[in-house]
Parts: sequence; C-alpha cells; structure tokens
Amino acid sequence: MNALSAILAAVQELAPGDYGCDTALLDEVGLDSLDYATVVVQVEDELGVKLRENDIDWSSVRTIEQLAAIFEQHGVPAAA
Amino acid sequence: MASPPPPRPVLLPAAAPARLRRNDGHVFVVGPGRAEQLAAAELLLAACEADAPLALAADDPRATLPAAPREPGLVFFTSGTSGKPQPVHRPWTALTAETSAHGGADDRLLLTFNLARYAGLQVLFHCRRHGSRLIVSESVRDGAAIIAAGAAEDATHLSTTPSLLKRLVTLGAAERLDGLRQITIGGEYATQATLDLARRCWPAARVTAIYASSEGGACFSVSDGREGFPAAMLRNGRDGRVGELAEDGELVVALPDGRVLRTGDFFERAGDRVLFRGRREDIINVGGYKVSPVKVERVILGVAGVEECRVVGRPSPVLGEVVTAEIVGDFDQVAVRDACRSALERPEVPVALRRVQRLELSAAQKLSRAGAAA
Repeated sequence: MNALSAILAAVQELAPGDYGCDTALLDEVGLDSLDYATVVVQVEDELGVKLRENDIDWSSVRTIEQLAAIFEQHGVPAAA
Repeated sequence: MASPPPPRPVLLPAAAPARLRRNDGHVFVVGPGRAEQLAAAELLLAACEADAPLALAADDPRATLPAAPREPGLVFFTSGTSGKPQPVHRPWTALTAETSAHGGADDRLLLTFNLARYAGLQVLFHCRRHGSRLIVSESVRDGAAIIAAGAAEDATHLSTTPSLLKRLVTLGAAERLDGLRQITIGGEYATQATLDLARRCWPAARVTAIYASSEGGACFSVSDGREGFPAAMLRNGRDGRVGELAEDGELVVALPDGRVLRTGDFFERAGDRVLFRGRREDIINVGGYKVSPVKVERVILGVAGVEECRVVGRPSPVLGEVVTAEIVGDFDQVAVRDACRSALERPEVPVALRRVQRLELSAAQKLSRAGAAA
C-alpha cells in the first residue's frame, strides 16, 4: 500500500466522505488534532514506518497530498 | 573514642553460597532456579538471625549493584517496573514485622517471586514468623513449574501479581491448586476483574489485595472483594501507616519510622473507595491531557473476550504522545473501540489497538510498561 491510499483509508474510517489529494485534513475533512494524530499513527502502522518529529514542519502539512509527501520523505512511495 | 567495629558478615553453610553468584562482598545475584532460591532462603535466614548486613539482587541486568552494605539489614532492589531498579535498605526486624500477623505451622506458601524481591521476601519472612512451609518450584519464572510444585505439596497460600494470576489460571491453576485458602494479590493494581477472577476460581479462599512498596513496606490490605481500598483506611493503614492523597492525587504515606514516602502512585476518590489511576511514570500526556493507562485498561478488560491488556503511550509527532493498547484474547475490535468511546474522554481513547498473542511479564511477574512496544 502506498502512503496516499493508506491516508485516505484512515481518513475514511474517521470521517467517511469524498476526498481528493488536495483536500485539507483539518479545514475540509474537519479532523481535530486527535483525529490527525490517529491518522498518522494508523498510517505509520500500516506502512511500517515511524515519522521523525523533528524533521517535519507541521504548519506546512495541510492536505492529504502534503501528508503523503511526508511519508514519502521517510521512504514510503507517495502513490503507486 | 574508637568507633565500634562494623558488624561481622554472616557465616554461611559451606554449600549455600556456591549456588549463588557472588558479586562483591556480601552482594549476591539470585537466579530464578530452585537451587538458587533455596540457597538464598538459607542465606537470608542466617543473615537475619545474625543481624548481619547482606545485599541480594535478582537476576536483572538493569540493576547497578551497590557496594557491600555495612549496616545490619538487607539491601535489595525495587522491581523497576517503570524504570531502573533501585536499591533499598531495610532492617531485618522490619521485614518480619511487615508480614501478616495471621499464619500457622500448617500453612504452605507457594513461592512465585524471586527471594531477592520484596514480594518474595514477604513470603519467606511470613514462613519464618509463623513456622509455615515454603514451597519452591523448579523456577519462579515458570508458571507451569509453580503450579506443579504447588499441586504436589498442596499449597494453601498463593501470593501473586494480577498479571501472574491470570497467567496461572490459563495454565490450569484453579483445578490443580484446589487447596488454596489465602490468595494475596499485590505488586500491581488489582482491578475488579482480577478480584472477581480469583473469587470465581477459588470461591472458598480469602482474597486479599495489598498495597505495598519495597521502600515503605505493606501499607494497606483489603479483603472485601471490591476494587481499591476504603477511603477511611487511608488514615488507618497497617502498623500505624497513615496515607494522604496530595492535591494532584499522589499517595503520600507517613511510615512508622518517621519517614514520609512519596509513592509516585496516583489515586482518585470514588465514593467511599480510593481507586488507582497509575504510576507517575506511566501517565500518558496527550497534548497536555493526562491519561491514566489503568483507567483505559479497566474499560478494555470489561469487553467480552479480552483476556489481558496493556495500555502505553506512543510518541506522536502531532500531540507528543497518543494512547495505544496491546490486547490478548478473542475479542471484537469494534466492541473495544465502542466501549472506549462511550466510557472515556476522547484523549483517553486508544488510537491504535494491537492484537498480540501474549504480554511478557517482567522478572518481577508484572506487566512492564517501560520499553513496551508502543
């Protein structure tokens, strides 16, 4: 599974809806910080990686695609 | 005036010390096997009789062994459930006085802890105080061996942690240890589910939950079958101990020798009871919200099919920490999630549930949170 698919699956579980790559996780999906942390943990588990907190500028991560790019930086393919 | 000479080291039967690994002077490292436990018992009783200094350490690579003690009494180590084991010095008289006043020569106590740990020492010194029989299995780390030894010698008393109790029950202890009259549960917090399990398995036995620590001895014990202990007991603990809950809920105990012990254990009042919330080191900080893993475990253990559970914090790049759970049993993940969502505040709800085959117990027969897979 690639990062984009894993993120979409985790988001769908929390808040079912029709989302695209440029959907904003907080503003459009309506996730709060706990939901956001849940998505990150579930994707980490699904892909078998751990994000390195200090390497990430979270203020620049707003959309599903941008989160997928973070996982890509940690060695996970962002998309198939 | 010359200072008095240091106390003489205990003289041991020639065969005994060879069973133990001698480290430094009077510091001995005690493994879990029967021969080592028996030798340790002999060593402890001889040192106690002679009021000699002695130091024992259970086989724990995390423990930094102290220098040989010069003061009469015993140096041993805390279990290190949440961190590194710490050495504790206790006089021999205290170790005997902290055992139960009730006992007799026909009691047969099954040893489930290393004798170099406080819980094991309590069992040994109970036997010494009342002339009871000590049953030593082939290994105190092997549940099947413990049950076999207890069944062979018709054990009447079992002292255990909640985690070990569950493990022993799954190995058939209820059927094979059918002569138990007294079950003492300590070392970890005994939830209502644990107390009910003991009651179901041994309906004729007295079940006692005890709150004790290596540093402060046995503080409170209760045998009414209900989780926690009566709030009134705080002011009336064992042997004059007086407890108080600090503003943040930490239990502070005034000990008979004048010391004041900050336990690092946090409790909350619930009606007429005082319930455990967790150890300081175990509290999970989810974006500033303090989560008690015990509270979460209590909810998860109430779901059908859940046998064992461990809740720990996991580093989160978003919130600092989040709550995760490892669960043993044949359970429905949706039911666990639903139970958590209905009974807990949002930050307390685990963000990840991991199904595992079993949870490893520490050398102190407890669920270790330090270093748990999060």
